[in-house]
Amino acid sequence: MARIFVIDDQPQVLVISHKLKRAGHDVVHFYNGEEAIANISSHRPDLVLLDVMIPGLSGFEILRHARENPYTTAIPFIFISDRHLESDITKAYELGALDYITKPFNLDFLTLKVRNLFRLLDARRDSGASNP
Amino acid sequence: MHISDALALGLLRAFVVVSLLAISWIAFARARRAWSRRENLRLTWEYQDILAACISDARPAPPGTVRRLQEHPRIAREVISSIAHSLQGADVVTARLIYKQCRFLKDTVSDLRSAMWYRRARGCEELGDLRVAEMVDEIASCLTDPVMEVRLSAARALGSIGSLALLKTILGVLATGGRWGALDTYEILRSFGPAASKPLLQSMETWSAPRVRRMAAELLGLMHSVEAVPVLRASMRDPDLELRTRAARALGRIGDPSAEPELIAGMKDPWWSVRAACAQALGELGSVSSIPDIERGLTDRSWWVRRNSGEALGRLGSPGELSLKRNLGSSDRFARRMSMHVLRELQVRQGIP
Repeated sequence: MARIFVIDDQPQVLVISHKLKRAGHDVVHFYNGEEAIANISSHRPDLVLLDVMIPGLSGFEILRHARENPYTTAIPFIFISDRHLESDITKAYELGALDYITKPFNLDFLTLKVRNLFRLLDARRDSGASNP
Repeated sequence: MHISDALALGLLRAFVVVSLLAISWIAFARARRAWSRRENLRLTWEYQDILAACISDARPAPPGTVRRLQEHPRIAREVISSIAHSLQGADVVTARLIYKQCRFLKDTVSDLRSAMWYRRARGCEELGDLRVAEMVDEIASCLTDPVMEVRLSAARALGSIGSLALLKTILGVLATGGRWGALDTYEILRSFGPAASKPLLQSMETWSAPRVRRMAAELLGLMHSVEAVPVLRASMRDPDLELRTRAARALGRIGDPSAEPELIAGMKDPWWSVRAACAQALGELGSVSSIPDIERGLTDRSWWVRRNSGEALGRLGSPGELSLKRNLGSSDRFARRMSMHVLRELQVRQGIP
């Protein structure tokens, strides 16, 4: 079971949380950027799903903060945003985001994407353990 | 006590009583507003939770939930549509089903005919968020609404539903509507996705309104529509200078090398914005063979053309860099300055102190 942080203040985030919980993940939901940053460094989630525009801090700020901290630098971040501007998407990838999904999005695809990501990470971990 | 004193005392008492009443009324109204805000927020969270559970399980709402949602239809409608707004596929179908179960569709249709413009706009937005395809005609009737916000909401809704048949009508409204911003228009037409490419191309070929053709050129570029390249190339010879500028920009964005001859020819256009757009586009195309033509732009009388030519050379890797270095010794002081400026920027970008 993976721990996923979802940072957004929009109502559809609850649907994401419900779906990921059903898929067996431990989902923690934050409405506020500052609260999220404090919890990312203390709880180190396996994945962060976040919006660009969040009350308190922008999603880019949260990602930058996480990347600067050696303890949280390897956490995968996936943006889910209303903003379709190429400059925003480029910025997200430049800062080290794993993916940038624009709204409206297909929730089933997102769930499968998350599943595949964890499978990949597990497979890497296992192959790393068997080939020291 | 004189009569006048008694009267003054009476008036003072009345004033105090009225003031106290007014203060209490204001305090009561404020408390009521705060309570109602809190209550609305509580209801919104409750409804969000109920609906999130139904939608993520892809199941219709049980009768108890439907009754609960119907108690506060305004909040329930808003929550359902805002959830559906961000989702696609089966989840939207479930949201739409719950909306219909609660019989909100009837209210929304009557909102479209409301005397208040914000209700008409909200109605269009809700139908768009829920992608209610059977309501396309009702939404389309709002495209001719006297209020711009309603027309925009209707166009956005039609974009979300993806009614390609109405794309031409939307473009027609844009041509006559006057005040719609290009970004809004782009956002609306972008929601149609790549399928919008063909009707946009047709509108470029058949519409005579310059405003529509310019917008279509810009949008085709933003959509990176390769099939638009021949039409955009032909537009580079159009008498409308704004269309030539936008076509050049679009050709740069699409990045098809077949547009190179038109863009090189555009470097000699009498209008500076066309030359500047062509220089930028040649850089985006990565066209090394056009270096001599871009170099000529470094001596242009317009700063923007010089700037874009310099940047274009900077994009072309080492051949472009060589050209900039060569221009450091140019007899033209503008070319020398711009080359120096761009080379400095390149060094900063490459981390050279």
